[in-house]
Amino acid sequence: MRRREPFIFLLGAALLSVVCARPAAGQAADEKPAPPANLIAQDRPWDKGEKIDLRWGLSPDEAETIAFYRVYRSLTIKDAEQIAFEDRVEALVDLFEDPDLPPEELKAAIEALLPDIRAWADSAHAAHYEYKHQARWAANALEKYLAAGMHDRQWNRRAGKATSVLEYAIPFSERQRQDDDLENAAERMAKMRLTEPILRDLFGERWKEIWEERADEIPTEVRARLYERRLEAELEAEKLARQQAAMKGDAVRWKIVVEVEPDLLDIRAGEMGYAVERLDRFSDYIFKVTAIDENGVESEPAVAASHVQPVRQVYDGSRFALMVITLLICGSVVFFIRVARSGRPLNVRKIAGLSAVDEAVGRATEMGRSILFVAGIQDMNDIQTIAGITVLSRVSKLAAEYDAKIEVPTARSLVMTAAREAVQASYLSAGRPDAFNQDNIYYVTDEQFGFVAYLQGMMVREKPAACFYMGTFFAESLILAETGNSIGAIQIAGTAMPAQLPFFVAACDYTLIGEEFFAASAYLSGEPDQLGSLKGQDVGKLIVGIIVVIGVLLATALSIAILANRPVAAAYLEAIVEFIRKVVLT
Amino acid sequence: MKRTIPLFITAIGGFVLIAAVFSGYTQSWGEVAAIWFDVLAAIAFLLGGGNLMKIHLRKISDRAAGWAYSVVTLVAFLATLIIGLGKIGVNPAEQFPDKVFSGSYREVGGPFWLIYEYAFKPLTATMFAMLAFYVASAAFRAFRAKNFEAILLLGTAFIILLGRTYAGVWVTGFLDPDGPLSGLRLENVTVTIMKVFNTAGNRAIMIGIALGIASTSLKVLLGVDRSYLGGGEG
Amino acid sequence: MYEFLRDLDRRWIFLMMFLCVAVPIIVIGITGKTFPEEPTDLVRAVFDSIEDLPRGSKVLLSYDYDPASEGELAPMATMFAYHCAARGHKMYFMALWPVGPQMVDDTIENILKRDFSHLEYGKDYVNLGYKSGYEGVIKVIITDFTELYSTDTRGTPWSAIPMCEDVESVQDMDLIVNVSAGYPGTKEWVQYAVTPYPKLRIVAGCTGVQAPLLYPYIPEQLHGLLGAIKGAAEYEALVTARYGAEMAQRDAEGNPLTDDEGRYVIRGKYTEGIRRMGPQLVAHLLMILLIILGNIVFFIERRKERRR
Repeated sequence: MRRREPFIFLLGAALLSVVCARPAAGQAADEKPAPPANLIAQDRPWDKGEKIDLRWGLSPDEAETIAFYRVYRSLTIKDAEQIAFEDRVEALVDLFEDPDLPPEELKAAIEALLPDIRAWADSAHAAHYEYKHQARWAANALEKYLAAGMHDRQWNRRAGKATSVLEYAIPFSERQRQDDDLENAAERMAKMRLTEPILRDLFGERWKEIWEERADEIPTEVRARLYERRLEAELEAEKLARQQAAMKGDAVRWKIVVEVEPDLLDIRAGEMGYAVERLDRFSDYIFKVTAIDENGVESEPAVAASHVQPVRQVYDGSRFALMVITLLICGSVVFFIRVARSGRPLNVRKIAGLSAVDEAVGRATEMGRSILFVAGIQDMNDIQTIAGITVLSRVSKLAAEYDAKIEVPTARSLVMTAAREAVQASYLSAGRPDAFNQDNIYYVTDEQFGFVAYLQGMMVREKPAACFYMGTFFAESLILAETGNSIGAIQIAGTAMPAQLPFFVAACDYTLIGEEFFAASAYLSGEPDQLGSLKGQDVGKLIVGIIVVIGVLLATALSIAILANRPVAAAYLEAIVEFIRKVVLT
Repeated sequence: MKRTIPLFITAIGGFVLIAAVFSGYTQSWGEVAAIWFDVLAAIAFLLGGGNLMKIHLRKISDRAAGWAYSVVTLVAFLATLIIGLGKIGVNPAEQFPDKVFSGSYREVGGPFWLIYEYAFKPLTATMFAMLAFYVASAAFRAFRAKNFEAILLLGTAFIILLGRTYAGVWVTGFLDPDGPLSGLRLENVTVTIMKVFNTAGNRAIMIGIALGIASTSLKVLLGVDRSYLGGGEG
Repeated sequence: MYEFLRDLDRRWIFLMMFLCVAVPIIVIGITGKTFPEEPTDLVRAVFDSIEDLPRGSKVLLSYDYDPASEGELAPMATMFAYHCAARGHKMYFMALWPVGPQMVDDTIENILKRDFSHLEYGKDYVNLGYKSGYEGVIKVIITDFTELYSTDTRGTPWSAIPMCEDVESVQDMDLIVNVSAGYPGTKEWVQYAVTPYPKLRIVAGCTGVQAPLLYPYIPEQLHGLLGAIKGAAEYEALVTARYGAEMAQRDAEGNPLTDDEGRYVIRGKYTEGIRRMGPQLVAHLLMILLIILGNIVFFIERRKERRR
């Protein structure tokens, strides 16, 4: 084991130097850097109501000494009201627990607080459904308690419960959380929780005695680790105590949002911005920004001129790129459907797996054996299952025409219902409604491996001549395909699960890979509408291809600009690449 | 009417949820719709359970081939259902000692836990373990060097198979891990293949799949493809 | 020989595979010898993500797997819990799979309660349980936990759990650790949690089949990945190298046991991944042999057909 004493001494020396640091001679350590200028805070337009855009002019000392800028926001201003409300709820709980309290006093306290509880439960602050419900329940219980004259034992118990429920119902404010953090840190320090497990492991129940009185019996390396951990806890408690002291007496409590550095384009422009996120749209905020120099000295703050509240708009602008792409792709699908309806012929390449469907059904008919169709193991909310059911309707129509038995075990009840409808309609459209047997489409189990165990057993016993696997599959894909191979069935698989495609390709006769599976319905029906949608998909691929090529070229140019030491060009290229990555592609 | 109303519901529901994504007021509607689906699926379980009972009871009464398996299925199904729903053998929770059903149905040592631990877990693990055997038989039967692409595939397979074990480290262990040829060490070649070639291929397939999903969904919403409802025409 | 291979009954292959897996397990069990593991960058990234977090950080552990994949994923789930507990992080367990809570219970019973008995439920770790809804759960809890998780699995209200008092949503977590066997899993966490909220960090462990699908997300969205049992073995190597003293078997006096080479003898439950690399090596060699034999048969057949 490594010896840790040198490390302890180094750590102690580092700590001493931090605590006792004095500025070097000749450096004006107290001189603060120039502050940023003209901080403007505005609500982000067209958003969900949780962002504020900040913009400020860079400090005049930017070029020389400024390391980064620190952005602060006020804790929500309504915290003061919230704290007062919490205090009153806590006071009411204490009153309930006092057995000697005169009833008139308790009644007065409840009557005074009830309207505020209801107002809070109805307010936008009580956004959590559970809290709203509990607070309203508590208010109702207290009201009934008052109406029952405060004598009824049942209502007394319920009212007692109501007050304790209120304690849960009211969420902690941010300020409360900070105070709790300080208390917890102190508590941890006092309990030495980081120390106890190590010593207990070594010495059992005698650990405390040894820690307090016989420290020399503790192995050196353990002592070093304990010291390191105790140091961490002490430093943490000190830091939190300093924060608390700094905040006391402050009219507004501040919270650090971020520490951010300007990039090259910001420096050239002389100003920079930052979008503060995750704000509460029911609260006002003040913002301030300070400049920190290389010595860690903080400038005077630039404070925004007024409070600002994030407002939610009808349209979420962050989804603009998504909207454009959605309209382009959907628009192209609709356009080509209309083109197809106009009678223009559309060419679709041959897909071997779909051309073999006829062959598979015919083979089953000749051999007098059944067809097995598995529509995946997911539910109807999965688009692959829907695609599987559409293929099922085509296959079952063929089976009806050929008078072959088709069996469809399902792993979900809703899929069973949908499959029955689809197969029944197919038999009807093939003119064989009498041949339809709904018991051939049945539910097995939701459990993945239970389902495949059933399928395996059924395949080995009944030996279907043709097996179709069309839908979402996971690990059971290889089990199914290998079992089907062992019984000599012709197997056609289609799935959009890239991880399972290799197993199907290796073991099945034909496999529809990804997109081909979704094209199956269009291909089998031959309807112009559906073939048109395939063309529309191709437009989507073209768009993606163009974006990929442009993005790759820009990213390559960015790498070249960085290597060639052209920072301005690199900054512009990086901005475009980041836009494509974070806006267009997200 | 039987097909018009579902088509109408599909179209309205689908397009409203698409539009809901773009407004801050309605972005949670998608989750609400997902919860509705969960409720429907839970109710549909009754259908499935009823169908299961019906099929297997019929097999038993007809003494069809394999009817003994149906007995086992029904006994296991009913026993697990009753023990789980009834919380048989489960102690009340510590916070609510006077409430009989307050304990967790998954309590360690309870009958439901025993079924899970000593029946369900070994059976599912066994089924999953069978994959190893099937992979081996598939490898022997199907991995043939029929053409150039197949040869490339086989070579890559050998590299990955060796690179994911200590054998890869041993075979190219003579190459300096920090030297210029360290990229040729099998474990590094494996990572390069996975990160570069495999990722590129997967991305292409995933893009195609995503477009296929978009197109299929649009066809369903527009009512162009109604075969999932039953029938293909009209 | 050619006819034997050409008509080889697959049951011989099954038997060979069985022996290739069983014999190394028995040998390793008797001798205790395992192959050394050299961690790759992705695994180091996972280790560093947990190791570099300040003590007391909030870590959300989502165990999205079932008993079927427990053989492949349980070792990494075990090590994630151990590593987080050893670093003093606060652990929030949850699951998106219905049987996931059982996996969490196993981890809590076997790791936290046995080796970290000083940790308190509700203060150091909490089991939030399973919620149905697949990726819909992620979409809800990314902005508000309590909309779905109003209590933990024991029925304790959210606000009565000390470590949940200052947690509003997944965005308050310092790290997300996901153990994933399929859907919903790491892909959904990346798509619905990390992509819209890029400040979130996630590392994951997944089955071998799923790993190729997750490489596109590395390193920006997915910061580290343990792929299959190999990844678990490499991660075990890193964690045992760091915390070997605490994880070692003890002698009668409570001192950690070491072997002849001075390395700690780690307790068996923390070396499951490493021990399974032996059977994996032999099985992979068998697969290579079978592919070669299969191709030999293929080429001989093709030559015979050409002669005809």
